[in-house]
Amino acid sequence: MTAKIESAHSAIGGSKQPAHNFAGAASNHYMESNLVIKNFGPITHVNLDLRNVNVFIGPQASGKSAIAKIYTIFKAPRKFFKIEASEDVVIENKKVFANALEEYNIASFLKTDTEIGFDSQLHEISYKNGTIRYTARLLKKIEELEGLAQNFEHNRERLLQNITELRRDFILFDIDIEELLPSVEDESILANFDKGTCLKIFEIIKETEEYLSVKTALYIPAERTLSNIIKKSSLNLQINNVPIPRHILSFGAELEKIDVQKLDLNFIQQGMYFENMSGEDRIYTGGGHSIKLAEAASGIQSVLPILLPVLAKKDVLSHQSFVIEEPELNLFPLAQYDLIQYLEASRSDSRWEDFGTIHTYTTHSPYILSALNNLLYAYKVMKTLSDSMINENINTPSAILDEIEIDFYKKIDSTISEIVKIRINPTSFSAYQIANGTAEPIFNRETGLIDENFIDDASDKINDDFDKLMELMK
Amino acid sequence: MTLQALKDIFGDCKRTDSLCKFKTSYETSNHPDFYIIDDRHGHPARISTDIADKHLSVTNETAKQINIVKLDCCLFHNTHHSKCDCLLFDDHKAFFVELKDTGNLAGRKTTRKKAIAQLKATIELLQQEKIDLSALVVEAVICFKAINDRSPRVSDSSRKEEFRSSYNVSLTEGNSISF
Repeated sequence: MTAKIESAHSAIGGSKQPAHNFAGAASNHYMESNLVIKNFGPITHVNLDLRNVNVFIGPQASGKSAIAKIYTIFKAPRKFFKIEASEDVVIENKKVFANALEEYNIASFLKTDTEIGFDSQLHEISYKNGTIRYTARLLKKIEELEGLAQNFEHNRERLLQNITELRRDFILFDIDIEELLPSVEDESILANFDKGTCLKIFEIIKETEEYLSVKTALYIPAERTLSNIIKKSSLNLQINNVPIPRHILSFGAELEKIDVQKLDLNFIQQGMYFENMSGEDRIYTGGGHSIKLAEAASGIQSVLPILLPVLAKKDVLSHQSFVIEEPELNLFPLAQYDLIQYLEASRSDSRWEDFGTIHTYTTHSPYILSALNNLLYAYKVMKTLSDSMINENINTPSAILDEIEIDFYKKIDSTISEIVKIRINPTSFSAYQIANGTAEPIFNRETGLIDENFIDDASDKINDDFDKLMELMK
Repeated sequence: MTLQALKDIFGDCKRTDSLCKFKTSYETSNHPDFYIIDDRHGHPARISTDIADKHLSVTNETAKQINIVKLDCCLFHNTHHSKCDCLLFDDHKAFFVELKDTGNLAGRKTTRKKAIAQLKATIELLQQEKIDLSALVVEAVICFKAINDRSPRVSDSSRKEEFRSSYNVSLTEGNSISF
């Protein structure tokens, strides 16, 4: 497993690039999906381009949490709608859809004219007029290839080409089949590629597809402090129909499964850490004192349910997705800044569908947005300085240039790392403000930073009122 | 960049009704502390040493000569694109300054947008006239009259980056500058 992790990280840091998705279009350098919602709760019409880090802001009851919940459901439709693995599925049963919404306490948002569409490299799914339509794109592709394999000798080269493309889109699949089909470009590869090998490869990609299609995003709710308290009783509460929203109970159940024994909380308070002692969650402060988690400050109770699942999945070799509601809850501004850095440092940016992490945040906090801006800008600084250095040394022989580049990179990386813990690639980022039923992008792709937004408008309004009061003093 | 170089390109005050003490857009000061005031709408910025007047405070610790060019409603008057209020510079630094009165009912957001447009228009005009600012550390300052603590504005970063990448100028919001 360690070798596999190293291999994956080496591939990610190296030159491997996903070239084409299985639909044939050029793929991007980030995981990409599109979500369209019409007439759902407070949402009139939103059309969202989602990437590896997504942020939604907006006034209360604007629908940003509803969007995050719909994204969670539609990302893993086979889990929520109990769809059998098949190419194209149509479910004409509004109740199936409503039940999935009930999991997240948003069933009452459903209207007769609700339309939702989600589109990713893995699948396409829509809901309209009580009907769910689902297309498993990757599965469809595999079935096409299985068809080609029926006439293997005639289609050998084409099959090999398609498998090569799949290897570029799914890094773990690439590693898994390395022994069956070494990824060297060699005439002998074509000669040794037989039908048996081909069919074994298809089985492996099918396993990958199955796994990804039921792999849900972990929804970390704003009510997560309650999850701390109820996690040991989640099952009993569900069985006894205690009226606590199911997604909160589910999250409590997820928290209960986590096996993180110790967690550094220095960024909240010097010397503080979490430790699970003989099954009891305790918070230790400097000086060896400890208290039960349930007795700890609200900020700690709010931040631990975010950190524990993220940390537990950090080195797991797979695709992960977290939806985090209001990470800023109960936290001092500097702690909010540190938390975002911690979370983003734990995230693997990825261009592959089967590896890497997606973070989706909903927030009201200018500190969270400013923190993200700093991490975005750190990436731009790194890139700009690196590009400048390369331009300045354009006539340097390549062997010497390689050394200069490595030294320069280490130096600038170290300098930037003293300021911020991690950098976010702007192409992996999207941000929207949700209000009045619609979504407006607030990310400026030219500057690579978050732009004018409602949270800034609130600061301006507060300052305007101060100015008006000052006028009265004249 | 020198006062004379600017005068050769842009001439002098365009107003026929100037009430300025010195009937010129170009002034200097070597006072260690002086102030720039946005007097009245439609009038150019005024330089004063009276602290009661302060809108923008200028610290000049070594009492060297600071060049001041009154731009809006003075050197540029009734032009299509409004310019910022003034330019202050010495051999090392240059500040494009736009003063805004916060009694303005439009609110800071709208007023800030206008200030940014005025600063951009001024910087771009100097660039078009090939005035070389490369040897100077250049800052664009939006100065609201009311001084108060502000909660962070996320989009300030994006505005700053736009000015840096387009003009190599730092954009700030504040009530004081120093030479």
